[in-house]
Amino acid sequence: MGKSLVVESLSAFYGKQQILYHVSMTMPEHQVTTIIGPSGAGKSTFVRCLNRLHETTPNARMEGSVWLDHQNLYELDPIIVRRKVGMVFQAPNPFPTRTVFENVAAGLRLNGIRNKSIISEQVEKSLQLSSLWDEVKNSLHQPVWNLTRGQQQRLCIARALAIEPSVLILDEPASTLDPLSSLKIEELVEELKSHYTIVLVTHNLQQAARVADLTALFLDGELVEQGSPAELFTRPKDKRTEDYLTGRFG
Amino acid sequence: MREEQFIRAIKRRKRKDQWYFVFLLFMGFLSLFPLFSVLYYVVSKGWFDLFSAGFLKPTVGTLEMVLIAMVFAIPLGTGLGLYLYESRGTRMVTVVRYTADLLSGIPSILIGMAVYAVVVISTGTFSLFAGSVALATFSIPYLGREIEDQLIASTSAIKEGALALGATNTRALLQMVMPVMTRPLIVAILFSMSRAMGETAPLLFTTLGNHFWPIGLMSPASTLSLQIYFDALSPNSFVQSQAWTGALILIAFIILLFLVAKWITREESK
Repeated sequence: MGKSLVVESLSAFYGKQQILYHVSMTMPEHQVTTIIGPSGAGKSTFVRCLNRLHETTPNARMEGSVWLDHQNLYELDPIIVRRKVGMVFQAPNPFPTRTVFENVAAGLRLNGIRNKSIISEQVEKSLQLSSLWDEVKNSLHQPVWNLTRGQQQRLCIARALAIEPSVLILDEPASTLDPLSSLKIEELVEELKSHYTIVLVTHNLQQAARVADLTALFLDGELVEQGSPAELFTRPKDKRTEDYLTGRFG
Repeated sequence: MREEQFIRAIKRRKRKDQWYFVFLLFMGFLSLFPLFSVLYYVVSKGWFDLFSAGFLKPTVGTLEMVLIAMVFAIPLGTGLGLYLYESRGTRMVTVVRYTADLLSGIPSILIGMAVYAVVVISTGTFSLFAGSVALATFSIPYLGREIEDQLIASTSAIKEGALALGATNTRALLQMVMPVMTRPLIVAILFSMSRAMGETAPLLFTTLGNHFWPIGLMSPASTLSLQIYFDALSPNSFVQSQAWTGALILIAFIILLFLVAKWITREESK
């Protein structure tokens, strides 16, 4: 079940280049936190620090700490961190050689679960949660490339949910999808927040305003402002937020 | 612009377009000409002797040598490719990658000399095995670089997907990434086999050639490339004609490997 995620003074680097500057913020449990900002603002790097995927890139490193339920994620094994903090990527990336069923089961098998009835129960539950079950229940053992891109993305969400993380990160999950698939993902985010803490990176300000309980704006590697979308979008405190929202840059 | 002027301009451009098309067609034929003339020559001069028993020894020799070379090259080349991909960004990898490029671009006769010094002298004999070592030596860096490129191009997203599910690096690589790599890997192996088949220079120092059946792997052997080389040098015109037949068999094998590779990649793009 969802737990709140607390970031303290997070800085991230690629080689000598600094990407993030002392970001501190709290992503409360059972809420949707959206992260907005122009390309290159460090949004993706920020969320990749939350599940420690950032450090798998050559020459990448970070400073600061990330706390999940009073546990410092940077003192845990990254493998364990990634079981607690699930992630969905910008472009759908199902495992191309596996079937629909095996894609969702992949996380369970990678984590050593062998019991067939547990696996199929969990696969069905995850596909239900990602509202894909009705569309694929008769083609569970078909190759994934028979699915549309929108379905593939919801399959990736199901795959992330199957190992029951506390936090679900979605890094621009709808940016490569058509408007209808995008809307489906948005509805899904609404439903999922009762089970998980959700962090959603998006370029789409309307989307951020619709689904967010909390919105944070990143510019040039800094957290400029955070607050409820109503506040941030209508009464921004920072001049730069206003400039960004009115399209003066970014 | 008036209507007539406009129509004239379009006609002029269409004519230009046609001339350009004729030019491209001509260049296309020009580039195919060497290939077809080689094929024509080899087939017309080599076909009549095709089924004589004399070509069994070099054919078997070539196949044995290339297969043994692949036994070394496939695991080592795959290992090299995985290492280059996994440790990218470190200084050591830059050095290894540069060395691999150098090694696969080095004139193959130098590799023959090196293998002569290391294998032939230490085992005390020219041999089919020494030839395989020479062929493996330049297949390994080729395969390694090819695998690295494929890993970077097509599988980073898949690997991250597996890591994000809590897979260890090794399991992500072996269980999720490698299955996707099967086809590109087979194609790279086929291409390096076809290159190895045609090599002659490194074999002169290592396998020597043999008119008789070799006694095991540790004795001199004949291969198609060596047979072509020696027969073509012969003053006897009948022996010379046998060089053409050898060339025909070699080309047939190489075309076969290319067709298989082509077929595999076509399936993939569906």
